[in-house]
Amino acid sequence: MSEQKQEWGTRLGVILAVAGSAVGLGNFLRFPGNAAQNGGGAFMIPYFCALIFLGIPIGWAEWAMGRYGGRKGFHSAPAIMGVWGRGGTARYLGIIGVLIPMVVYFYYVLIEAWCLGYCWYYLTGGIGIESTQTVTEQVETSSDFFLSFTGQNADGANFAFGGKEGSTHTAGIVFWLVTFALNVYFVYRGLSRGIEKFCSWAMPAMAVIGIVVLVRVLTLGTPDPAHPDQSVVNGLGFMWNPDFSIFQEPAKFFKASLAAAGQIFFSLSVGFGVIINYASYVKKDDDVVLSGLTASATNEFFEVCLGGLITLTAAVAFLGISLTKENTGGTFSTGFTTLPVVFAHMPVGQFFAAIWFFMLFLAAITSSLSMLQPAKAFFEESLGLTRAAATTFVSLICGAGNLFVLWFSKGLTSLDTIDFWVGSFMIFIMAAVQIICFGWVFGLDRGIDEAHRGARMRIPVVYRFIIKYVAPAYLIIVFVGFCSQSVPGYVRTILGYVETTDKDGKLLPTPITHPPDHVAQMTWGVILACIVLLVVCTAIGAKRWRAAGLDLDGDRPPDDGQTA
Amino acid sequence: MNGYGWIFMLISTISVTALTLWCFARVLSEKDDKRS
Repeated sequence: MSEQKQEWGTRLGVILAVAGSAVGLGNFLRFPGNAAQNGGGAFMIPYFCALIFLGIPIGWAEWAMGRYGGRKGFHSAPAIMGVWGRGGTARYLGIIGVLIPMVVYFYYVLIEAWCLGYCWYYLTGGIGIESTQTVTEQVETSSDFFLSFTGQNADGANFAFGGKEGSTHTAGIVFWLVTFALNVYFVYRGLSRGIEKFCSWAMPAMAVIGIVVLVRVLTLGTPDPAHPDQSVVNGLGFMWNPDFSIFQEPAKFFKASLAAAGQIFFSLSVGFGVIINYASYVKKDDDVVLSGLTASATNEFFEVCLGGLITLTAAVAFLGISLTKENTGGTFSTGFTTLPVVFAHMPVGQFFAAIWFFMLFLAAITSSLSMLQPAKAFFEESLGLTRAAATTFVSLICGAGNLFVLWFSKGLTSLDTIDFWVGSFMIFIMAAVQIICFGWVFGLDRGIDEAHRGARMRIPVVYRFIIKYVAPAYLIIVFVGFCSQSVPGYVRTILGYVETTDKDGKLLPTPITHPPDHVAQMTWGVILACIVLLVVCTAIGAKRWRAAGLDLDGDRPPDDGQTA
Repeated sequence: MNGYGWIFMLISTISVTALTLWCFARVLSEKDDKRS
């Protein structure tokens, strides 16, 4: 039998925990570059459409599904999906809702450690960028530091404690250990005394730090009078001036729409397996509609109002538009290579860099805590483990996963493989399963009635049509577009391929053979091993739940008070 | 920044901020049972 029932302490607490799960580095580092490359201000049109027609409805469905599962005594995605999907198929598909957070954790906590590390370095002197260097030299210094600190130069580099870069690598491991220990500590303390308590101060702290940095950035004016084009206003313009050609050219429109939908989707953390777990601990008559909307709005505040006004504005103010364009295409290059150079030029930049990276660390840890919790809950209820035993078991699995990704650090191949296949591809599948179960299998009317139980606001009637038809269709279109753009490249990496033409399409005199990437293959081996583990545990769990008389196929209304 | 840029920026940031504040005002204005 499970221990004392876990619950959230307050409604605000669960909202901040879910918002904390959603708000991450992508809000500050991925969104701005994504917007600037896909139409600037005009990008906000497909972006808000994706929020209204995809992100919010799927979020509401996930909140309602989670709370209903909790009423049935279940807290893990396989069990909850089995109830909503009325049987074993949905139950085993629900494994994805544990796989995603658990396996993404294998690399996510490393990024979190990077943020902590950068914060520490800025508190204690910086990362080696000198004011006497040219901007190009500074970018190179920053990039070299990042590559060294993250062990990207070679597999096993993170464990090379000797030599010129030895102390950097030692520090990297220390920051990982500290970060990992903090994660385990807060998850072990449980929902209200651990995760909720931490998020209740971390989220406001993030908002305060973000606003402080925002005010600093918006008051920069034109930092260097010798470069009048490098100004705050031009920085805002780089991000927000609309490029209406995205609505006039079909290829651009499709690309921008796909980018916007993808940004919303991953930013809100729907389909990640977290909301469904967190919501399962909400009391049966507590609101989920207003709570879900509040968590989504909070995420959007951090993304649009902070990320959208800080990152690129500061970059343009100090580096100019062309250097900003070159160096802000990706999350890591923006956050860990370009922004350190920006801070090097900013008055009192070391202080602002320290608090900025501390804010990113808080954003990351509130997310990583949410990744450990679903897996812990799953092992508790499938194997009948105590909270302590489940925390230990999950910690061992995730610690081993961290060590794997830490070792195979060259080019961040292992990290990238997990991020694509588990942290992107599988999320689409999980979200599709959820929205189809909610709207089509369980029954839309029942689902909406469940969402409205204890609700402080009603879901607008038009959302019945949106949840049943628009969101699934939108999701499938985005998924097909995502696959056609990205899957072939990743499949080629795993299987190897022969390159017969150059990037301009001209035939090469001699074809180039690219062998399979063994690190990508081994990473897939790790992912498959996790899938097998979760399938076995689900089968064991299903037997236990049936023996305990629980309604795992959703045949009866909830008998509130049951526990798995 | 041009006029359209200001419009997109102000509408986006103000609407998101307003929605967030409205949501939190609703959440915080209701009596919440704090459990031990």
